[in-house]
Amino acid sequence: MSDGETPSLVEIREITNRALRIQHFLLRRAWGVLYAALSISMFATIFWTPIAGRLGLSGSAIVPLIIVHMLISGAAVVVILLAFRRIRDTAEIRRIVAASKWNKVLGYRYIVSIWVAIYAIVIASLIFTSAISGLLLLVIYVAVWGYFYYALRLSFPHRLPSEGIAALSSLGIAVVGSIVVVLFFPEIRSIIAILWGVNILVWITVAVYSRALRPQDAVEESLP
Amino acid sequence: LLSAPSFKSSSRILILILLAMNKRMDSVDLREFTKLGKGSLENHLSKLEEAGLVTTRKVKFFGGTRQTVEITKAGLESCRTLLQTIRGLDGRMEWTEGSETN
Repeated sequence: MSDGETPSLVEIREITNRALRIQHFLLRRAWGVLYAALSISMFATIFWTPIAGRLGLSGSAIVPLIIVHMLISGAAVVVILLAFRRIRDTAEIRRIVAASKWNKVLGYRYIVSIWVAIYAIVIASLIFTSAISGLLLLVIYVAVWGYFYYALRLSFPHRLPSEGIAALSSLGIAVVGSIVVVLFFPEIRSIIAILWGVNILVWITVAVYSRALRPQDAVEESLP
Repeated sequence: LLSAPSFKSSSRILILILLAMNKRMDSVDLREFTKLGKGSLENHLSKLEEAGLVTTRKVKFFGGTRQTVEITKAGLESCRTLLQTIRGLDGRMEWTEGSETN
């Protein structure tokens, strides 16, 4: 590394590219926490009714159902916002040096607004139908899938990491599969539990994989 | 800007860009990513701290102490200005994120 003299333009460009490669690794590791938090959130959201039954509570009682959903998803939103600060700061630096269509950062105002809108819909559906429709929950998960695709693209604009592709694919299959079952094959609803069980296992696996990533790949290349 | 002593080192520029994206980093992580020795990293950090671009802090961690490094507002501005300047001078060259490892 040059020291004491001003690096050339080419050197600074290479340093910046190297910093972005290191950041790519750091973001992959940071996403591990997000995958873990969201797998817990998905588990509690999808399997709350049988869990509540085991605990001797009424799984379909509306008020605890809403409280549990809001607490769990609220905790997930906090984790997302904390992780998003780093993604946003990375995108801002990347925007200076490289053109990319995945540079538009949606801040906490958007995320909190989306969360509030979702619960407004859920509570409204409870007022008018006295039950959370399974289909409504699945439609919300379609929006969650879209948001995660955007957040992953913002973090990794050039190429999604393998664990991100696995998480998105398994969530997509679980959501689309569940919607198909609810709409066309309601007599085999037990498949929904299998789809989400597998999806949650995939997310736990990618969380562990992301946290276990070694930095060698990012740092081994020599500096200019 | 490029003639400022803080930027007369590839290592210091790398440290500053990493901090601009992460705001705060552990000195152990910085050493790992910059491949600098402990003394060398401390030397670079003290130069950046003298210039008011970063602040360092020792925090207690599981019975020991760890050093955290945080970028200042001035550091963030300098880093952005440096990259914008280079981008302006280097506009014809293709900037990429390099070969991202998967």
